[in-house]
Amino acid sequence: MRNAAIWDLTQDRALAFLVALSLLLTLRIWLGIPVWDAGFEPFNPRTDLPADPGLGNILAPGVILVHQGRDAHYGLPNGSEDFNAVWQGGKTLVQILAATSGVRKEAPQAAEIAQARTEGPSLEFVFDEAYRLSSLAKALGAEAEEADVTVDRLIMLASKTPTVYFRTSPKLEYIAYTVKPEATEVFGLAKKGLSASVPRYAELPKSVGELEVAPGTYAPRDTPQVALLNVQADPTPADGVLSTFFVDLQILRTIVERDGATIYSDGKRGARVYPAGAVEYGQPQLGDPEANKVVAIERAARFAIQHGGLPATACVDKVITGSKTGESSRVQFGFRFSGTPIIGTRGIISVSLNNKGVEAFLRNFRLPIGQSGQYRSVLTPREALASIAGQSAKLFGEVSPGQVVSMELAYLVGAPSDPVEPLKPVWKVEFSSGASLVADAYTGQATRRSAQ
Amino acid sequence: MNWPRARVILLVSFMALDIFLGYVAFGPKLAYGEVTSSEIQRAITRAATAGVIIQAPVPAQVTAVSFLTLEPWPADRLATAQKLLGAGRLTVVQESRELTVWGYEGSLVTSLANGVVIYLPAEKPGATRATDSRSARALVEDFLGPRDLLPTDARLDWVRQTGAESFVVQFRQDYQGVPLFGGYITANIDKGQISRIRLVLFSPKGLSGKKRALVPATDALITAVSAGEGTIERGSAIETIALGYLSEPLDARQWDAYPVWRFGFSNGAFVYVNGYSGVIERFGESR
Repeated sequence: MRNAAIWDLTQDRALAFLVALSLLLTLRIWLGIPVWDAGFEPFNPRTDLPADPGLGNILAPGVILVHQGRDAHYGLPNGSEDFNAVWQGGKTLVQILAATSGVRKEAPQAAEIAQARTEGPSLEFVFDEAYRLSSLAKALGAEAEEADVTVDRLIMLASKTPTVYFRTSPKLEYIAYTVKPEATEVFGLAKKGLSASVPRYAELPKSVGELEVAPGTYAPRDTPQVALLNVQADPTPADGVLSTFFVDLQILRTIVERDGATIYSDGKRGARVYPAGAVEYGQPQLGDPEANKVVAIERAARFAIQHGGLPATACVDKVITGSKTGESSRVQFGFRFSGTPIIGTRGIISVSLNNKGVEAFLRNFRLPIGQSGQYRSVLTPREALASIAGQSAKLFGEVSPGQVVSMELAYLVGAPSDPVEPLKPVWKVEFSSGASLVADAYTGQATRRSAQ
Repeated sequence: MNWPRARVILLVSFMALDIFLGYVAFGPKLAYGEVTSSEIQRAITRAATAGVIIQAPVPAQVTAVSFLTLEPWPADRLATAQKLLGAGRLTVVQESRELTVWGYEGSLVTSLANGVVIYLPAEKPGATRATDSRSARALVEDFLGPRDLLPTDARLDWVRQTGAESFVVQFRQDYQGVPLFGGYITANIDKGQISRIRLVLFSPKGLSGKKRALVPATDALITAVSAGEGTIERGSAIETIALGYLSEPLDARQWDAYPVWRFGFSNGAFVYVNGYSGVIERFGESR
């Protein structure tokens, strides 16, 4: 009796299995691709690389300078707790813009700006790029009275007469705004206490050798001890990124290059996967460049998010806007690790786009896992500038790069074809002409990055 | 209802059904069926609308194929130059990352990084002269054959006379009987003698990846005549329709050649349609 019941149960289960199997096989034949074997790993972005870091964070300043009077200048590196408390994901800028009355004061003299920095208390937002103020405000959900001003800095002076100064680009001139009396609450941020670990900053000299430095360019005052940064290959599988570009990976033909990189192509579009895991995609198409930097960043970020994701601490490394038909605008993203930018010779994530769409994309992400080797002293900003000045003929030829407008310590990821190896610290130096270079922070050996 | 009996019948039925479905899903997929005669007629009518007459039979069978993996040829560039120049000790005329040029008694061999080899012989008075297509072909075969440079899977593609005692002879590379259109040997004959040989050959390593169904020849035919509308003369004809693999010579370690439908027009033009995507890969290349 018991055996008969077991036999009945076995037959029922076998029948259920055969029915389920017939359904699965029918599904495979109809759809062509079995649901359990799609031929590639499904795209699964890492949890620590969220899909959208938010435009307010991507457009955030690289550093916020806190001027507390005399030579007490502090730098809040992007991503630090003090920085986040001041920036509030962009809310502070929105509040500042709302506080301005829209009435321009008379053009401030250089002495007035210097006073805002030396007497304080004031906050100075140093952006990585110069943005059209109205676009920046719109991206953060605010309104700006000025529509035609491109700015790269904002100083919020919390004195008896609260004032907001914007530095225009590329002329590096200042404009000032009075503040509505009822909207001065945000200015209290300039008087907030800081953590003990916040680094001191100092203004760079007006010139070092033949290099001119724009007034108000600050860099860390003390020479830090820095080690190499150990990294791993991009944990996001290249197949996963590829699957976001091509509907069917199985009809892609491959070319294995002599350096080990593999090109995948469907005949119209191509993607190259480097041995170290970097992915490069291209679909040439003629169009007009995207002239608005903020719009270009927004579009590039959206594209990067859809094709592998952006790191949570993504930041804008460089934006190059094309000037004529046929050129693309290029947005290079970097990201921050413990506040220090990680940048790439061609960007960590780089998107070239025009009004027709995205022409080229590069993802050369490396996952930092900690310091490597011994901590060593790096060149001071002044020493690094002196070294660059000594190489200026080789770096710039006869063409003047303009004034130094920013200088910060970063880690540099090499070319996509380079192997995964510890990253070197570099001084990233930007010039008013748009030229940019990196100098080895240990030796001062400098390399041009790109020119506008 | 007698459930035990019904269950046995269902078990047997579903087992048979699953075996059939398993065979369809995972079994050999050389043929995916055939296009109907009305579809062939529709393609021919479309071609006629574009002013193109179809003289070649339109394949009805819809097949599935894989990519063909290729490696560069030749493996030994110097040895190939030595065979072409017929000498052991050669002079290096030029050398760079992109190319090497060897010379011997006025003859030159250029070997490019992408595997292309070009032979430019010095004029040899008194040598055998080609006077017609047949002797032109024989001249090239007699030159390359003994030097072991005419692959056993090479097939004569076409011979064209360009003037008195001037010919162009092209051999096509095949892989297991399937044309490899990107691979070829083209010999130019002027004044009855070989004046130039261009070798674009590959080392096939075998099929790779899963087999994928190809677009039917009828669809590819419609794509080809549609693309040629306005540029191909009305009244011209498609003389050949062939399925094969296409590849460019590449400076790479290994790559995939992809399946294409090749349509040969009476004016000498070839149109290649990608067998997987159905898009035009090359248009207007003429013999």
